[in-house]
Amino acid sequence: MTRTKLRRIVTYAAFVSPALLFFALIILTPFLRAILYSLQDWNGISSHIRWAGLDNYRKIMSDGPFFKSLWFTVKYVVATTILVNAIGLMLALLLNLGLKTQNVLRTAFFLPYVIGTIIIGFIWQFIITQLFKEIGAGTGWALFAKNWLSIPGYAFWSLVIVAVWHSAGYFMVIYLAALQGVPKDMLEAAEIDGAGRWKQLWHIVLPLIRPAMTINLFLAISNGFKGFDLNFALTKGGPFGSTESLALHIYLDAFTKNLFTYASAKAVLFFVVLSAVTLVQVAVMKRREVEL
Amino acid sequence: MRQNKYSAGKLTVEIVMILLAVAFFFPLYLTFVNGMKTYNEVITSTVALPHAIQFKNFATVWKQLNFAGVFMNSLIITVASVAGILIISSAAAYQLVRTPGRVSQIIFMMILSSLVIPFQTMMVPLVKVAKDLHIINTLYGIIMMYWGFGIPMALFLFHGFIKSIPRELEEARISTAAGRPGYFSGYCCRF
Repeated sequence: MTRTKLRRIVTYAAFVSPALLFFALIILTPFLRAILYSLQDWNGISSHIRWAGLDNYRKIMSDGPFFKSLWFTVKYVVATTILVNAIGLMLALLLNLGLKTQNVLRTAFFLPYVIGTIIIGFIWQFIITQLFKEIGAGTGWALFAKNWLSIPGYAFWSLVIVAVWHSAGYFMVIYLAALQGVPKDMLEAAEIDGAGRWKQLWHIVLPLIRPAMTINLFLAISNGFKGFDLNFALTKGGPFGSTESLALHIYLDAFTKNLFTYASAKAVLFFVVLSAVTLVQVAVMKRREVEL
Repeated sequence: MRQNKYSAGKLTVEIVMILLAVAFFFPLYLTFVNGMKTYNEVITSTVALPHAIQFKNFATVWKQLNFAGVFMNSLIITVASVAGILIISSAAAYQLVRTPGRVSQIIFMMILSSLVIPFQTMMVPLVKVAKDLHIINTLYGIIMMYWGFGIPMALFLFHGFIKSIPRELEEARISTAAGRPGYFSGYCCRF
């Protein structure tokens, strides 16, 4: 081995190894251990660890609350993904028209995203339990007279509303960046050819911002599945566990019921579901993107 | 272009959007205003303005939470973890881009694919790993965890970015500067 080649290898290792080290320590080891735990029976404290094979997975198949929280999470993901993208895209289109106050407005819509979700949860808990009651008393509308957080259906939509309010601005920013990449001369050419506003939007703008849609759908789906903070701060999974997201469900199993290995099996299943859904989504969307 | 004209339609959109923005902003306003009220005032009406502006609540919280100390923790964690993520992943991304080959490809894909692993999957064993490494309940422990979790995304972004820097620019520089490491620290990072 020549000296220069050796030097190259040492340099390479020096640059890459820190990233590899922390990746291995913080992500890879816990991930592999999660798979290992899911095959064992252990309460997290005792020194005795029993090999369980696939028992944990078999037990999950008849675990009602788990499927209840899975169903809740799927509904939540569908609702937030659609709303956050529809509202984000609408805001982006409107704030790209050249309004006089558009810079201030963009900041205003983005602002909720800057605040942590836990705090957002507490703020809205206050608004829903206090302000809504006052609105109900003031206007006499039955809709606001109830305590939204104590009725399952209402609690679900409270979570969706807060989540959409919180992150619509973020999705707007990504759509705005994509909209600014749409060439003006193309739109002008279409206008000369007689295409109206809606035709321009449908046939030129929307196909050209497909990459942003791929990213936004991916983010919305994976954030929705991973939702934890908001459920934790706003409803604590209640009423009657009706708003318990998968992430919260796993957390409660592991750290309040001390079912370490059982929770690990659920977490591994969670990983399989999430990666399958997002990989399919990205693969399907990528194929439909157009090159400029 | 016709689109740049300021028409009546645009004015309508503008007004609607401003109203919407005010509605969007309302919860934050509410939080701030209620922070200045006494407890009784909050109970009787959340929307009303406070009778007298007073900052007693803020002072109480400042003391009770040990706000300065807690904020200092957040500051240390943020600065150290962001700095670490930037240094570690930019260095790795640079080498991975500039040394193409199977090894680089495998390392990059491996780290990148970890982006789909939800945190909750790793959460339980991570506590165990942290205990084994004796970094649990320490500031540097959580900073190291942020490094680990921040690296994949940062590496992905840096990777794409460094690929777009023309190689010729770099080669011209390396011959005059102190070799690759010197080039990286002195030049590449400035982009």
